[in-house]
Amino acid sequence: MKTMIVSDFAALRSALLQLLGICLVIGLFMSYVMGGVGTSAAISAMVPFMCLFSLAAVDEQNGWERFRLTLPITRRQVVFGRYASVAIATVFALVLALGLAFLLLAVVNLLPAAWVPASLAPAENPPAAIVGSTVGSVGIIMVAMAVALPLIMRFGMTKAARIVPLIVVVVIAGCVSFFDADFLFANGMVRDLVTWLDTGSNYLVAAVGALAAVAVLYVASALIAAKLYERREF
Amino acid sequence: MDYLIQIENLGKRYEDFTLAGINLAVEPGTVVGFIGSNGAGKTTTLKAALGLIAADTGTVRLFGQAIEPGSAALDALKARIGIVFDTCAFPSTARVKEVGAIGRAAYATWDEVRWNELLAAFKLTPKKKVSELSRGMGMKLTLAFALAHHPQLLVLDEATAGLDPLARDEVLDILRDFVAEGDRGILMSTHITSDLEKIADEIVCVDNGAIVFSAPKDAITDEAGVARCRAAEVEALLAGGVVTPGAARVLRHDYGVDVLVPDRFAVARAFPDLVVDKATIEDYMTLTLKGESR
Repeated sequence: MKTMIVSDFAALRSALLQLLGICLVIGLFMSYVMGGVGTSAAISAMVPFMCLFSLAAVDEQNGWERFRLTLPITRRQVVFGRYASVAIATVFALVLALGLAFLLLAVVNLLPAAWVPASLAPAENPPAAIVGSTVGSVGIIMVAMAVALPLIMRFGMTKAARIVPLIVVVVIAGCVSFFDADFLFANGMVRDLVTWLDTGSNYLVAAVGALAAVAVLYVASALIAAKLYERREF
Repeated sequence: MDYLIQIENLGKRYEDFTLAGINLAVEPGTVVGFIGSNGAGKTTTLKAALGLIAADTGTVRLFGQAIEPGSAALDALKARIGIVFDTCAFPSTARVKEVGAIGRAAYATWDEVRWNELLAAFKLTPKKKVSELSRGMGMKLTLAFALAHHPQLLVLDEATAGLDPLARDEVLDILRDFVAEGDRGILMSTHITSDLEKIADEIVCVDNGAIVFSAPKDAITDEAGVARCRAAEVEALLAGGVVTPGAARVLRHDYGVDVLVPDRFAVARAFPDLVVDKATIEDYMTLTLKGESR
């Protein structure tokens, strides 16, 4: 697995450096438009997805994916290594997003109030909202990656690019029909949830819980991907 | 004897291509050249041998152990093999030194000193990106990677393609040194048959998914010959009792007829007026594949 992580980050190194620059630019733009909440949400969603697709693209260049299997690593190690690399990139994105958002707000606090756009006012950017939006974005992206990764591992990125959107649309349509919004609002479930989140540090408990649930899904996805990858021929 | 690699009766069926009955073995201290036209089945054979595809029939033994694709045993055995495919496969965004980091992570036997020696010998700059390397330099990088963990078996698929003649000679010298240790061997698939004339011990030719011939290189380049005949001389040559029936290959072209004979010395003695050239591996392959069996 170590071989896989080392090779993934060797492939990603220059892309990550470019991503840092892009994140700074996007962070400044988003913070002006949407405040710290939007900044952290955007960065935490963007970085893991870009890493995933960069790695999948590199796999298909010059037969790297085939050559990699001639190294002394098992197919399971290839799959689990790839999941680990993407997870590391996600944690990096989470830390970067939160760090940038809170740094931004700290800098804004030092400026005269007249210079600060309304979107960056402290009242508009409570820590709970920043943490919630970041974890929410990471959660959604991790679910998306948990769906996309087994297909990418089984079919390669070129073929998977045709299948993933189809699956995503089906999943979204299924979720929309299952979680009937009118029903949720009419029964006060959303209101109750918001009240609970606003109580003490419950938002942190919810964030940790959401991340744990997504992590379980991600691990299940890795196990499926490993099974699918065993049958792939190069 | 424990061969470094031994392929027996290997078969793989695709919709439009079938590989069948492939037998091939590399003894320690030898270089086996694997030749054939494009699409003949060379790469499919190598892929099956390395567990990249599952064969339908046959067995592959690496260092005496039968392997199954995806098995843990195969992955341990792969650590003893160095692979060079026809392209530099490393991530194009990685730098040469990062390729070394991948080798360090992958192989317990990775030799950093040897890696740096090979980089210096091949004039590969550690800071250079893989995408900035020419095809030839990319192949050198792959070869350096394959050699830096002291493999016992090298599997080369068009490894010298794209190298200039001087670089090819350099690489062949390295391969000769590699085999000279005695316990190591090379399976070398290539279209550049002149490289095999310099280095190979055994030649195996595959065509249309089946082995066409397997012979010691010396039997091809020292003993066999190509008689350059006029049309009228062919029948006399074949009826002269020097060539066993079925052992000659006859290829007619616009300016005469080439006849591949297994023993050029015998033919030269029996027909002193006939021009009998030494056969090259390319002559031997071309006449065997395209010539009429007589």
